[in-house]
Amino acid sequence: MIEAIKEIIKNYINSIKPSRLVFGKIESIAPLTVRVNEKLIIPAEMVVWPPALTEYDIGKKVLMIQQEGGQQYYILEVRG
Amino acid sequence: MIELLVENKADGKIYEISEIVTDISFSDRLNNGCSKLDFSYLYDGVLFTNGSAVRFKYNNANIFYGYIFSSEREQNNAVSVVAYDQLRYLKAKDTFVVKDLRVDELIQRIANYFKLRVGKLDNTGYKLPTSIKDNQTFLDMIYDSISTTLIGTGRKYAFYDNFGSLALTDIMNMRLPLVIGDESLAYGYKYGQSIDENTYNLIKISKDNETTGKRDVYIAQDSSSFSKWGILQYFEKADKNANPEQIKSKVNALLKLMNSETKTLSIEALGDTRIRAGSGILVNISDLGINQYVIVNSCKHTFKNNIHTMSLELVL
Repeated sequence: MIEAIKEIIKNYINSIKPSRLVFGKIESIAPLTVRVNEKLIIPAEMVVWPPALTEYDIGKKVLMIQQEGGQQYYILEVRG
Repeated sequence: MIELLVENKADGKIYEISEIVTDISFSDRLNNGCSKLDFSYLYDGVLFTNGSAVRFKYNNANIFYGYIFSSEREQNNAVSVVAYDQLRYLKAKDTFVVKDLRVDELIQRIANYFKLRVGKLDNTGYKLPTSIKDNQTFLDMIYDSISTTLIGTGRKYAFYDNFGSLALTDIMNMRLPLVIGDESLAYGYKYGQSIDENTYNLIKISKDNETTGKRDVYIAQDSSSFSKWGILQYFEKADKNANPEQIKSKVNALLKLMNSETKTLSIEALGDTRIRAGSGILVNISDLGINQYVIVNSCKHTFKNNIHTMSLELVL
C-alpha cells in the first residue's frame, strides 16, 4: 500500500514537471537550440534567452530554469 | 466458431488450441492502453512462453493479434493466459520533442523506432503545436496529441491495434450499421448522467502578456446553463506561443465540448464481432427515450460455451 502510494506520487510529480534548474549546452544559434541530454534538444520557441548570444556561444554550458510543465525554459546564465 | 492459434516462442511451432480453450475474453478501451485477450485452457503438456504470438478469430472475423505477457497454471491443470496487442510496448517512457508533426506522423515515427507493424493511419491534416514530451510514455504522448487535435479540429481519432497493425481512425468512420437496444441484442442496461466530471459552463484561459506585463483573461460561458447547474468553472493557462485568436477559439471549443452532462450507458448484449472501442452504434432503448448513434468507450467480448456476449460502456 505504502509502495503504491509512493509510486503514484512519483508518477504525479513526474507528470506535472515542477519548476527546476536544468543544465544544457548551446547546440546552435540561428535558430537557437539547447541540448539537455542525448534525447532532449529544446527548440527556440520554448526558450527565453538573453539578447547577447552569438555564434561564439555554441558549445557553451547554460544554466536554465524550467517552467512548471516543462514547456518553457529561461536561460539564467551562459558559462564559458 | 473459435479459432485460437499460438506460435510458441519456445519451439517455434504453431499450436491450434481452439478445442481445449475453456473461455476467452477480449477487452478494449478507447484511447486508454492496449487491448487484452484473456483465455484459459486445460494443460496437456504444452505451456506457452511469454512473448509468444496469439491470434484469435471468431466465425472467421479477425478479433485479436498480440503477445503473451503472463500466464498462471493451477493444480487442477487449468492454465490462464493474458496477452496484449503491440500497443503494450508503447507503455515505455522516453523523451521526445514534437515539432512540425501531425498525430499520424508522430505515430509513424514511434512505430519505426519500436519496429511495430503499421496499418492505416488517417492523415489528420493538423500540425501539432511544438511541445516537449519529457519522460512520458509513448502512449501518453500519442493520446495527448489526439486531444490537442480534437481541440484544434473538432475531430476525434481512435488509436488502436487492428489485428496486428497500428491504426489511427477518425471516429466518424468507425460507425457501424448496427442497432443495439431493448428490441435487438441487448438483455440488460444501466444509464447514468453526471455533471460531476468534465462538465463546465464557464471556460477561462489566462495568458501573461509579455508586452503589458499584465494577465489577459479569455472567457467563454453559457449563462443559461448556470441556472441549471450553477457555475462550473474550468481554468487553465495558455501555451506561451498561443496568440489571442488561437486562445479565443480554444475557449469556445472547450465550452462546446464540455458544456453538457456526461451520460453513460452500459449494455449487456449478444455479441457482434465488429464492435470494438471507438465503434459507433445506433442505440435504441425506448424506456430511456434513447435513439441515437453513440461511441463505444470500452467493451468486453466473452466467448464461453459457444456463446458470444459483450458488455459495452458507452458515452452519449
